[in-house]
Amino acid sequence: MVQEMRITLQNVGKIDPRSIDDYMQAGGYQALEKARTADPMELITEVERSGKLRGRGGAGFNTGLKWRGAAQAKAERKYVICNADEGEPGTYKDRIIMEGDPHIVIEGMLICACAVGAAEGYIYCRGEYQKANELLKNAIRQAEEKGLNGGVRLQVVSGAGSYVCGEETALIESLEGKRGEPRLKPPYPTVEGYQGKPTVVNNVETFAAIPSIVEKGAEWFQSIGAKKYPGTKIFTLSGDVVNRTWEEVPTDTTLRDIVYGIGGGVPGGRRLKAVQVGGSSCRFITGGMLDSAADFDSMARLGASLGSGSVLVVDDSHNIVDVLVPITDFFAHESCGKCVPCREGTMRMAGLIRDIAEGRGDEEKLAMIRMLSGYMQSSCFCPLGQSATTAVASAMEYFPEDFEGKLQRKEAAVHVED
Amino acid sequence: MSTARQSVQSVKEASGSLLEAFLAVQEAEGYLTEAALKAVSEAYAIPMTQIYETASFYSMFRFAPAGKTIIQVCRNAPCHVAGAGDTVAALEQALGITIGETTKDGAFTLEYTECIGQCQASPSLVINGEVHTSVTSDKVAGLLASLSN
Amino acid sequence: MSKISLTIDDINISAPRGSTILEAASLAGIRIPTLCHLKGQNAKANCRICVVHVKGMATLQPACATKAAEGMTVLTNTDAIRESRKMSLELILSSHSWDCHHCLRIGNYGIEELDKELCSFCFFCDCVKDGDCELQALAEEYDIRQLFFGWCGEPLPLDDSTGSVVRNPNKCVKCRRCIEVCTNEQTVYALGVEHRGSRLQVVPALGKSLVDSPCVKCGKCIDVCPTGAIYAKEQIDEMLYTVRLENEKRTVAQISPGIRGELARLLDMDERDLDLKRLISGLRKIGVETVVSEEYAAGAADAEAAEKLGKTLREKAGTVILSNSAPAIELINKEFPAMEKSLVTYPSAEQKFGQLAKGEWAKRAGVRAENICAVTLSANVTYKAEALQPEMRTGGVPSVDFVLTPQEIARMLNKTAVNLRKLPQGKYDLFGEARIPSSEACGALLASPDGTEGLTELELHMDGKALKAAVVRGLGGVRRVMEEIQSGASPYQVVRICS
Repeated sequence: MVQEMRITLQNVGKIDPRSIDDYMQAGGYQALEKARTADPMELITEVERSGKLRGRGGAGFNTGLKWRGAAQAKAERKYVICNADEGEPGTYKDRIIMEGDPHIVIEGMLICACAVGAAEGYIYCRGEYQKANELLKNAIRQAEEKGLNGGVRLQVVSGAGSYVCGEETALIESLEGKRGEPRLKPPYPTVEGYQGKPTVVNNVETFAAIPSIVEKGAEWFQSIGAKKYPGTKIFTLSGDVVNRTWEEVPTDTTLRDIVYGIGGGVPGGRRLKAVQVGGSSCRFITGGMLDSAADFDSMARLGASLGSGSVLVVDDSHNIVDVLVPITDFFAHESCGKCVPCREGTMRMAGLIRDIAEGRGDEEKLAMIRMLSGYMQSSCFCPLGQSATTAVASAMEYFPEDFEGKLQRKEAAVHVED
Repeated sequence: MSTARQSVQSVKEASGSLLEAFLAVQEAEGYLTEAALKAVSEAYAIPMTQIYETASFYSMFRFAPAGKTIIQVCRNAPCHVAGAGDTVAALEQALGITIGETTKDGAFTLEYTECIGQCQASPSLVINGEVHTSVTSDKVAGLLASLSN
Repeated sequence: MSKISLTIDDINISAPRGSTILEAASLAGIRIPTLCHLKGQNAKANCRICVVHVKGMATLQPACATKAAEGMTVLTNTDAIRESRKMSLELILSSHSWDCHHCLRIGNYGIEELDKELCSFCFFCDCVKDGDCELQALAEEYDIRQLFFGWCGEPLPLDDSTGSVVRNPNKCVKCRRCIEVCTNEQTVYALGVEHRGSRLQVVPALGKSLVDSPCVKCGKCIDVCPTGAIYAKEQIDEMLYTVRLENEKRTVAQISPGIRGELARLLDMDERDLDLKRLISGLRKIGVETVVSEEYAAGAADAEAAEKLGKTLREKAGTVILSNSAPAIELINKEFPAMEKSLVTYPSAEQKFGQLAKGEWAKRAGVRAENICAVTLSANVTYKAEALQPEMRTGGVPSVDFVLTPQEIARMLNKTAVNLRKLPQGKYDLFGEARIPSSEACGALLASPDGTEGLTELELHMDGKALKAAVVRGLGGVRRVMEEIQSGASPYQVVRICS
C-alpha cells in the first residue's frame, strides 16, 4: 500500500489557485510571518537541519547550505531565483504545483529572501507554461496588495524555449537577457550569480516545501522518508503504465510501489522492460532494480539517479534503441552549442542512434557510440552535455540484444528481468 | 510597426525582460521581423548582433511567418513511447506535408516541440498555444475537423 | 601580490593569486595546447582542447578559464586527456572544410598523397592559412589522419560581399575570437552567433552578408582567426598575371614598413633579420618595374592633411575630427552622420601613392593612368577595402589596383620561389627629388601611430594659437570620443583618429 503524503501538494485540488484568501485560510503565509521574526541564521540552520532538504530539481544539493553561502556573502544586493524552467522530459511536477498552488512557491521564496537578505526575486518560468506564468503573476500581485511581500520585489520572467536554461548558470544568463550558455563553476551563484551578485537558485518543489519546514520544524521533516534524503518527493509517471499520474510520497517509497502501486503496472498484458527515472538525462533501470527506495542516494547506489522524479515506464513492445532516438534528438536540439563535445557530440550521437534504429548500424558505429559516450561524460562543459549520453550508455549495458537485433535486422530479443 | 514598439515599451517598463519583449513583438507581428528586432534593439540600446544572438537561441521565436494554425507535436521519450510517431504520421497524411513544413495554402504548419510537461496524457500537442492531450493517431481526424470549425 | 602554490604534472608551482591553470602552467614551462584561447581576450572555454584533470573533480576542466587554487593538483597530459583532445579535434575537423591542400589543377588530395616538391611551384589555392593554421598544427600534433564522421549537410556559401574581408563558414571552429574582438575591442558589433547546438554559426546580425552589416573592414577578425574562416581576399594571382602578361602595363609598388613584423613571423625569420630592401629585389625578380618606399607618399599625404586641417579650423567652430583611417571614417559616417561637416579626411599613404603613381609620376613618365598598375604592400586589409571604394580613383581608374597583406606577400614569395634570405638588398626608386616636409605645426599630430591603443593628448600650434588636441588610436576609442564630440562635451579642438 503506497502512502501518499502531500506537503508541497497540500493545497492542490483543495483551493482556488486564483484566491489568496483560500491560501491563507488553509494556513498560508503564517510560516512567512514566523520566518520574519526569526533570526536569519537560525532560520537557515533549521532548513539545514531538516535532514538537509536537498534540492528537488535534480542536483540534490543541500538547500540550507546554499542559503548559508548566499547569506554569508557580502554584497549590496542579493537575489532569490525560482527555477521554474521545468524541461526534463517526463517531468510535470512543477507545473502541477504552480497551476494548483502558486502562493506556496511565493511564500517559500519570500522566506528565503528573509533568510539570505535579498530584496529582489525572480521566478524564471518556462515560456510554454503560459497558465503557470499567469497564475504566478496574479499571485504576486495579490501578495503585494496584502503587503505580504515585506518590501521584496518578486517578478515572473518567461523563458522562451530552452531546456539548458534549467541549469542554474544558464538560467541566470537568460535572465540577464543573453543566450542561455552555462557559466564555469566556481564561482558558484551563491557568491557570484545574477548580475554578479549572491544569488540563491532553487527549484519550485524545493521552495514549496519551505513553508511546512518553517512551520513544523526540522525534526518533523527529518522524520519523513529516507534518512539522508528526507521528506517527500513528487513522482510523475508516464509511458507504458496503467495510471499516467502523479503523486507525492515519502522518499523511502520503493520504485515498485511507484510503478505498480501508484502506476498500476504495465497495461495490455505486456511486461515491464525498463524504467527511466529522472528524465532523458538519466539511466534506464531494469525490473530487477525496482525494490530500491526512490530517494536520491538509493538511486545513486543503483548507478542511476532520482533526478527530477519523472518515471517513464517502457514495456517489452519497444526496442530500446527506438526509445533512444527521441532522447538523442532531444539533446541535439537542446545543446546550447558553446562547447565542441556537446555541440558536435549530440549531433553525431543522434545520427548514430538513428542509423542503428533504422537498420543502418554496424559494429564500428556501436564502438563510436561507446567512445562518444565516455568522451562527452568527461569533457562537456556543463551537466547537459555530461548527461546527454547517460541513457544511451545504460541501454547498451542492459539491453545489448536490442542493439544486436537492430544490427541483424531481426526482432529484438526481449530482455526482461523479474 | 508602432504596435511592436508599443509592446516593447510596455514590457520594458513592466519587467525589463528582453525575452518577454521578443515574445510581445512576436505576438504583435506573428514573427520576429527585422523591424521588430530593430525596435527591441533601439528600446534596450543593445546592438543588433546581440539582439539577434539572443533571439535566435530560443525555440519559441520565429524569424519567418508560419501558417495560420501551428500544430506542434511533442517528440520526446514519454510521448514517443505513447505513440507520438503514429500521431505525426497521421497528421502528415491528413495535411499532405512532412513535419517541419507549412501547407501550400498557408493554413497549417506542422512542427515538433520538445517536452511541454503534459506527459500524464501523452501524446501531447500544442495548437496555437493551446495544449491538446491524449492525441493518439485515431484522434487526429476528429481534431483536424474541430479546428476547421 | 599574494601567491598560491599548486602542483601541475608533479611540479610545484607558485603562482600569483587569480592566475588560471594555463597561466600557472606556463610559469613552469608547461605548455597546454589551446585553440579558442587568445591572450588579451576573456576566456571562452569552448574548444575543450586545453582540458586538464584536476584532482577531486569528476570531469575535465578548461585550463584557460579555471582559476588555480591553493593546493590544487593538476595533470595536463594523461592518456585520457590526450584521447579527449583528439576526439575534440576529430569532431571539429568533421565539421571543417579540411582542404589545407587543395589543388585545382590536379584534383583533391589527402595530405599523405601530396608531393611537396610539386606543391611549392603551384600557384593554385591551398587554404590561405595553410602552414599558419592553429587547427592544422593541432591536427598534426595529435596525428589525425582520418575521420570517422563525414560532413553533415550542405556546404555553406562563402561571403566575399565586401571584396576585401572574406568569410568561409565551412572552416569556422566557433571559437568566437572574432566576435570578441569586433564587439569588445573594436565596438563595431558586426559579428555574432546565431542559433544553438550544431546549428550554431558565426554570422553578422540576421545572417546578412558582411557588406550589409556594420562591418568597416578593419581586419581585426582576420588577425585573430585561428583558421581560414575569415581572411583577406587574395589578389596574388591577378597581380602576377598583370605583371607578367600585361606588357603594356607598368607596375609600381610601394612597401610599407608596417609589414615587417608579420612578414617576418610568416617567413619564420627574426624580425631583425628581415631587411625590407631585400624585398625590393624580390619584387623586381617577380617583374615589378618600380619600387618605392612609403616616405614620399606619406609626407605628401601629411602635407595635404595639414592644409585641409588649417582651412577647416579657420572656417569652422567646434571640434574638428581628422582621419585617414578608412574603417574609422566608415564608422563615423555610419554611426555619426551628423558630424559629416566636422570630419576632415585625407588620403592614406597607400592612396596617396596611387594618386601620385597614376597622376604626377605617370605624366612625368609619359604613361597613361590606365597603363599603370599600382600595388601596395601594406600591413592590413583596411587598405584593400579602401582601394575598392568607388571614390578612390585617379585619371578615371582606381588609384590602387592591388593591396597585398603580409600573408599574401609570404604566400606569393613561396609560390614564386623568391627567397628573401638569399637575395641582395635592392634600391628604392624615387617619386620625387625631395621629400615634402610635413608642416611643423602638425608634426606631432600626424606622427606615425607607433603607440598602443588609447587616447594621447597633445598641444597643437596653428596660426599662432594653441589648440588642445588628441590622438585616438584604435577603433575602440572612436565611439566614445565621437559621442563626446557630438554632445558638445569634448575638451579638444582637434581629434585625430588612426586605426
